[in-house]
Amino acid sequence: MEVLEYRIDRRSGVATYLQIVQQTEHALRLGHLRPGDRLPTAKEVVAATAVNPNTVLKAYRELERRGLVAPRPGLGTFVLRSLAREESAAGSPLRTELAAWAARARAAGLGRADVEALVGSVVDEEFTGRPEGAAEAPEGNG
Amino acid sequence: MNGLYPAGTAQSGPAALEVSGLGRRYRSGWALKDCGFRLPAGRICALVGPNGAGKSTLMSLVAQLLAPTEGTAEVFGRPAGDPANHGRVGFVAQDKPLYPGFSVAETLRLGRELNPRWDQAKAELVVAQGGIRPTARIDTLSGGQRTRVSLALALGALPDLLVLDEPMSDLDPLARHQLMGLLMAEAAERGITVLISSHVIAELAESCDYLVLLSGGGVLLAGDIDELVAGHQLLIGDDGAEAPEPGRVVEISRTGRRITALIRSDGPAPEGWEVAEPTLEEVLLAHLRTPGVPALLTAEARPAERTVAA
Amino acid sequence: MTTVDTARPAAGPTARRRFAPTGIWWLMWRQQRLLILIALAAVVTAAVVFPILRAAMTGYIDSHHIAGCAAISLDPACQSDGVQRAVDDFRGRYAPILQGVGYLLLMLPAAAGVMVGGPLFSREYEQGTWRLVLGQSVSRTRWLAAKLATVGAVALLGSAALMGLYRWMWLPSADFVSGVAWCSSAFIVSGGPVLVATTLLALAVGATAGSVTRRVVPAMGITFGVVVLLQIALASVRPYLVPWQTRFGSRSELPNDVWSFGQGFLTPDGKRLPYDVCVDSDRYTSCLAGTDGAREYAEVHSAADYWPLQGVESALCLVLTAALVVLLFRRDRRAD
Repeated sequence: MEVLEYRIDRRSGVATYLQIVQQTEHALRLGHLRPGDRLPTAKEVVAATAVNPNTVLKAYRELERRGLVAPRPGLGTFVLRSLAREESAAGSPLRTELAAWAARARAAGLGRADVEALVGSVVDEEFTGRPEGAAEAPEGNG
Repeated sequence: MNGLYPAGTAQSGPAALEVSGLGRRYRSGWALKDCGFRLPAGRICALVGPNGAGKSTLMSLVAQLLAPTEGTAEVFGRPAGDPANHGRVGFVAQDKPLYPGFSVAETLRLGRELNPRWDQAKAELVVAQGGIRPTARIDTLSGGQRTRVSLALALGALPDLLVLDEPMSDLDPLARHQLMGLLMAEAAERGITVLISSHVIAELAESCDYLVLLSGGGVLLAGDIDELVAGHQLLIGDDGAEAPEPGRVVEISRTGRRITALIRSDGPAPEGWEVAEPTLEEVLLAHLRTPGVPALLTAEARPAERTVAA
Repeated sequence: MTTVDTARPAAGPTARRRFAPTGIWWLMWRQQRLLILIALAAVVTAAVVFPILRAAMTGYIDSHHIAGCAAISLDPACQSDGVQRAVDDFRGRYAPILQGVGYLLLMLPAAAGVMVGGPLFSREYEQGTWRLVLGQSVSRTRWLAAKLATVGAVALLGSAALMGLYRWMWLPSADFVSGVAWCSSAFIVSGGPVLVATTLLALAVGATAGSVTRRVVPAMGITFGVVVLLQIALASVRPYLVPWQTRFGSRSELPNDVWSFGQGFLTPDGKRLPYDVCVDSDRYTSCLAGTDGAREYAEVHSAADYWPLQGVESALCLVLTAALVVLLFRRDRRAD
């Protein structure tokens, strides 16, 4: 099991507990966390991030509310279901294509910020204001 | 706040700290006057205020290094010096005093010999995490290392209330982060209450969920941080906007045609303003800049009514 | 779960094969261990060296048969030929040692007050470590008491041992042979309980000065000044602590073991004239005659007054010590 580390950005304007929720979901999506894995204990999280334990509690409760994790008394908090999609797993065609594209963009002289800006702009075009009937899969929330 | 902490720790029971009418006078004047607030158990409380506000005096009174001139400070529902609280309060003074000629191991030994409860393994772990050799002499350690040893001493005694007077003041950001993580881990494990003072609010904002704002020897704000922030609104408008009720206004400032007001959110916002949620810093600064604003204590921060003996 | 070991088991400690103090006594030992070792070394040195010197002295006395003989003695046993020379020889050899040790011990109170008492609390205040100790669930009263008891015990035992050993070394040659009388400045404090009482008093002065000034160097300086003044003051009132006698006759006729501290001439009608009333006149005897038959007198304490004098002066010092200790504890209760 990979050790999950949270990185809190204090100036992002996003509440800390939400950042933890989002990063957990991110890990679930990428398959770093699989059903049955145990989330880090609150003690482990706060020792690394210096965040208030209540904040971690709040985040875990939110994940529980979203049906993603469940606490087992005395044992910890465990992942219930994955958000991973085979389409985005390692080795999938989508990911391989994207990796190749990223290499080409870099070779073309684009820096990280340029690539992120380009990807962001394309994502915005593709995913906003889509008319009804678009067969967009839901984000994985129940 | 349940399910995370082991049963029977400082979570349940009376407030960790209840201060009422507390005052302390020195020859030069009152350092603290008519100070009152309540700190529930299990909270991480930031004690903030400008230099000279009385933070160190308050902490010394709580830790019983000083006797109050008037008023009371009760810890876990018992008056100061009560034998039931023996060993439950840990304190680290601002200058992190240690015996310079002692080795680190001897300093921990001091903790073991003098305290009723002691966890040698925990204290040693805290020291080892900083890469400090037990045989090193205290006077060869850096400021950050001394702070770490002081914290090891305080945490090893397994306190239920930990009082820290500006512990981070002479530390680099990495050391601050590590030591704060240490404190948070202890809070997660044992549910201890922490009262930590600083004159820089930013470094405490993430870790603390409770706050007491002290200025000029008195309490301006006290309570849960989220509640305190939610208890205020930031209004942005211009001359045409409806004037807010004077009783709700904390601070009004004007730059050119633009007026910014911080008001209490006990009621609907007046007409013609843009309403925003203030940051904690804005709330604190507004209260500090405006004298005479009545103190705001959230419900759980108000000390219990008590009849004063004549 | 973390393991918690309690500081001490509930039952009393089993017999210790090693010296292993616990609780606040560990801290006291750790802080004062240099002092304890120095005191121990001094006592051990004296316990080794003094018997050797004493044996040499008694050997000399016995072999020369000068026991109880002074330089000028009316005792018939001391009139034989070589006695005077032997006594002078003895004094030449051993009097400097007896006096030297006596004067050295006289410095013990000042040393104890300045080096031990002064820094006792002032260093803790200066370094801020008083807040460290009191933050470890130790009450102020307990801390004060432990610190005072520790250095007090070392001072008491150390000074008593050194004083006892010195006195024991002095006894064979006592007032007469050695020329170092009980009332001499080298012995009158150092050879008796007054040394112990004065040392404890100096310690209390130092501790109080340190508690008041809260800074080490001023505490040491003030303690030195006060202890010196105290010792001078005690020396000046010493003769008057116990009733004394007035003896008539020439001062030089008094035996070695009588302490004369006041002298002059007493006229028949009770007027006292100073000792040097006729010193300047050309003819001493006619001057004396002119004083209407004034007789030379001296105010004295006989050797029998030794223990009463020691007792009263020691009690005086101990009362002052107790008063200072009470003061220290009462200051503490205000907890500033």
